[in-house]
Amino acid sequence: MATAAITKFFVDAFASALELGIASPDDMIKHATPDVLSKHLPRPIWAKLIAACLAAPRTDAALVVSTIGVPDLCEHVPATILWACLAEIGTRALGKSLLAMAPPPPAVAPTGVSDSKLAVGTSPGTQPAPAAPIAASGSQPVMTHIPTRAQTEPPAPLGELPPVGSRTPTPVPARTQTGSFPRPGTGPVVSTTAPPASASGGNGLRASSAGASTRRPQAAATPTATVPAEPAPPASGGRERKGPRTAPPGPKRGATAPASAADFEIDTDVSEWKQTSKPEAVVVDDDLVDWAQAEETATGGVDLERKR
Amino acid sequence: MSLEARQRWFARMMESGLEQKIFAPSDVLVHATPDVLATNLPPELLSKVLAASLAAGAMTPERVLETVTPEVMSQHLPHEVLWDCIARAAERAGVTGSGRS
Repeated sequence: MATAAITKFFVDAFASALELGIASPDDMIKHATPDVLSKHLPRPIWAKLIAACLAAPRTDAALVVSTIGVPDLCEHVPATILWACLAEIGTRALGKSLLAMAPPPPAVAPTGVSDSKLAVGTSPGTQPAPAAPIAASGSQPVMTHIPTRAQTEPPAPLGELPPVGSRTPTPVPARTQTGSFPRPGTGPVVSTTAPPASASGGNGLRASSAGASTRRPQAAATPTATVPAEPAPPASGGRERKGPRTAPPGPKRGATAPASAADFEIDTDVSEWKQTSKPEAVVVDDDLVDWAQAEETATGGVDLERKR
Repeated sequence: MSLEARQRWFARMMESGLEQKIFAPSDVLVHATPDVLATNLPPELLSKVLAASLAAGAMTPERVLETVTPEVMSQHLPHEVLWDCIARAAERAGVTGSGRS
């Protein structure tokens, strides 16, 4: 059909809507934005509009629409934009929300005859109008918020867990007994926790508040266990981390002579561990001796008598 | 907005759409189906439609709309039905941006 016909239809629709209070000039300017008008309105009309705005004490949508005129608006503004505006007005007049009408269903309505026209008829009002308004309004951006949240939230907690493969709860307590230092010492932890490293300003590990909090509690628990030095290996065997970390602490120091942010932390932690471990090592030796003796005595009758 | 204003607006849009041939009487009856008409038109109008058709010897969409004018439609038919008609016409005109024409 001729564009003139649809234009006249738009003129009638908008003019009557404004006349009857179905729509307001704001509704039109909402779609026929200044940017749209700047691209599509002829310069003479722009000159007229500017003059009117300068002369008027207040510039608002009513002034713009009345100055341009509905016929000129409908003549120069793209029909798709006019339809988006009219669709919004129409859906509002019907008491429907744009979101409800939003889904532009490509599928044909269930009922109705074979003709495609029936598709619209069967689904009262919801199908046709929605597509245009939504596209124009651009209400979709809301979805982007969700992904951003998901990205920001999880990284922090996961970064502390980096202990890589072993996230199981059982291994964690074992570490606390063995010593807190091993965690910071392992390089892989830092690498695995990419998010925390980026977040940390100076020291990659300590900088992250979460990482510091988790390590300290574990370090406090370690001193209590005197035996840990030996029992640690079995626990570490369960986890790949502990084994290598606890066993090589001494050699690692010497090996990791080059000073880096991570190494510095490792050194400090190791020193603490040594201080605490020295007394522990002595105790362990004593225990081992006693234990062996106890077994030997247990085989003999003397120990049994002592125990009783 | 008042119901009267909405009725007048829809009447005007339907009238303009027919005048500008945005949609034809047959397009209107695709949405204002016989069931819709029978359900919503008052008895006197149904009688009038039938009488006119009998007198003319045929019931055509054009003849139906001679009786069921845009004013009558906006007054008695659900506005959703009228809006569907308008929206579908706009779709055919290619102004909705939905890609269907």
